[in-house]
Amino acid sequence: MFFYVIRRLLYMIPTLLGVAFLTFLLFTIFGEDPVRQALGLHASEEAIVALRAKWGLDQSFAKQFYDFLVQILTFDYGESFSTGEKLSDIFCGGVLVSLSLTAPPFVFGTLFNIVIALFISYFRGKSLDKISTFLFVVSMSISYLVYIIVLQYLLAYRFGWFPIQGFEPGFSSISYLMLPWFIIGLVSMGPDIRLFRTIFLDQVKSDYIRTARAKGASEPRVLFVHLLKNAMIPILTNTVIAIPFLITGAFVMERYFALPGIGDITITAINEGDFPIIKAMTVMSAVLYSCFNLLTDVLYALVDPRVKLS
Amino acid sequence: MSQKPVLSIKDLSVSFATEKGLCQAVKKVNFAVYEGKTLALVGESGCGKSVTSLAVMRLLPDLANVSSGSIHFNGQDLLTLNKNSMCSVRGNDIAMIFQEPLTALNPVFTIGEQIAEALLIHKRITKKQAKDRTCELLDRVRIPEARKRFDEYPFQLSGGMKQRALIAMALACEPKILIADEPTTALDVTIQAGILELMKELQKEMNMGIIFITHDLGVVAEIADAVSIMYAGEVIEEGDVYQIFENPRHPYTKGLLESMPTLQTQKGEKLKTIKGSVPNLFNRTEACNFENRCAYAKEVCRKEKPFLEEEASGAKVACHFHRTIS
Repeated sequence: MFFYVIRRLLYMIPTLLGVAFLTFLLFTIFGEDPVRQALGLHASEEAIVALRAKWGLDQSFAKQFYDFLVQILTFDYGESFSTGEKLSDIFCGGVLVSLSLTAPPFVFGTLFNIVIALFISYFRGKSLDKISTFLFVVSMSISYLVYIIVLQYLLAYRFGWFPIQGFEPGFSSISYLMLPWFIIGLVSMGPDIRLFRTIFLDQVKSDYIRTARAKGASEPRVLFVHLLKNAMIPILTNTVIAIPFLITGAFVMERYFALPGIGDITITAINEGDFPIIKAMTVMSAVLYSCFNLLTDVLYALVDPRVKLS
Repeated sequence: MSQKPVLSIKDLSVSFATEKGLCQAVKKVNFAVYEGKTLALVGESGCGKSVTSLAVMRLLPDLANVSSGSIHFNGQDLLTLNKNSMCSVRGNDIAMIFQEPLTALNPVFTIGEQIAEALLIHKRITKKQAKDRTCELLDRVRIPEARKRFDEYPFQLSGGMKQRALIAMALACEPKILIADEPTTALDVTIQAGILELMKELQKEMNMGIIFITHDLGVVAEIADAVSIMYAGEVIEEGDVYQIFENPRHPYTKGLLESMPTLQTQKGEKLKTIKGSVPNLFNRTEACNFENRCAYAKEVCRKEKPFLEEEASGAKVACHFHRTIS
């Protein structure tokens, strides 16, 4: 297992090199001139040359790429083009906000949805099952944006139960995050529970479930012990795959609720042509994706004895 | 057989609610199982053997429903027990082993955990005691290196070993009745013999009654004391194993026995078969179920269904012409 993880981490190096190279290529060849963007059309020639030198854009492509790689390795991406703030500071703040936005509803929501799906599987074929199926299909057919706009309008603007948007660091952030958490949780229920229910019902028909019942295991024991551990394998794949979607979903949430998370920072950076931020974001998402992939495989081995990592 | 049966089934009928309508899979089945004896339920696929056994365990699929009858065990009707009391009967008093040892074990728990679970559910013992007892059981069903196997997962065992593990699991609480639903069908012939031998030994040791479900008459001759032949959800002939093999009364039983290859069968000679197939269970008629495949069928067979009649020998048969046939 240990060597497997090491090997997988080593495999990540060529992948990330490729991502870094492509990102670099796209920005240097196809991107707009950031100096022009920063200084405007009527800037003096001296100012342009000076800024170009300051940002290192007067160097050869090879040197610029080398500098980019050094930035990646040292996690020091320099300064923002537009605000001059250190990128590491911007990201540290952003990551905290994004995580506090997505992590709680993801963790608790998934657990909650698993329990609800087990409950519904217990009543398979009964009216509870049918009604919930209908409700979840309806809820899944409505766009994410509708939930955000309607709930923000009703609960925050009309009833005033939550702040409409904004963010404060520390404990007071909770009041700003409550409504976004609720929306993320609500939107995940339909697809999650439908999926988990299908996975469970697929397993309920298995022979090993009949064996467990035949030895006298009670129905809750059959569901929560025998079925759940087997169902964890497909559930894990589907959940971990959903994490990147959760981050892209957070772009929208952060935008609507004016939360200064990674998503919001990136969108602003794209609008302002802030290259360092975009480059850093691209590389960091590639790192995240690779790490989550590795994490899934490790979790597999922990849940399924038939999977050996070697 | 003057002693009292451990398990007796009376007029058991099971029907399935399907999209095509109600399908009566088992109709008015009666049988009894005695201490230390083996009853073989014999019949071809779809004749209701497995459904009958699942009804005894109250493990029928959601669509199936026991429409009448009673299953008496230990002075109570199992059909009237609530879910919890039924859980304490299952695996403890009545245990079952299944046809597919390859899939019957839970792939993500160790063999030991799964066997010990049966003990921990029904007996008041510690985990340590359960582990020791499990190792004894593994040893008893002749799985080598029991201590080591305890921590192995099903995928690490061969088919025969899995069936042995399932037997150990079923017998963990020393049940009074063991239901074996074609336990050797998925196994190689050599391994079959070993499993049958083991079951006979354990039966003697624990003095339990066995319901052995099979379509393999060779296996029946090997293990059974009494035999009930099922056809289209009904018992059509029953008797002790000698009566059935030496003096079959029902044309269907005769057909089954004749379709077995023997040492006298010549090379190239076609095996006998019973022509036709099982009647549609959706619309049962007044005719004898076997009438359309029976060489002896007469007018009366199409009009009137024969009842199970007891003969002087104690054997029972459901055929209008059983006297003339034998």
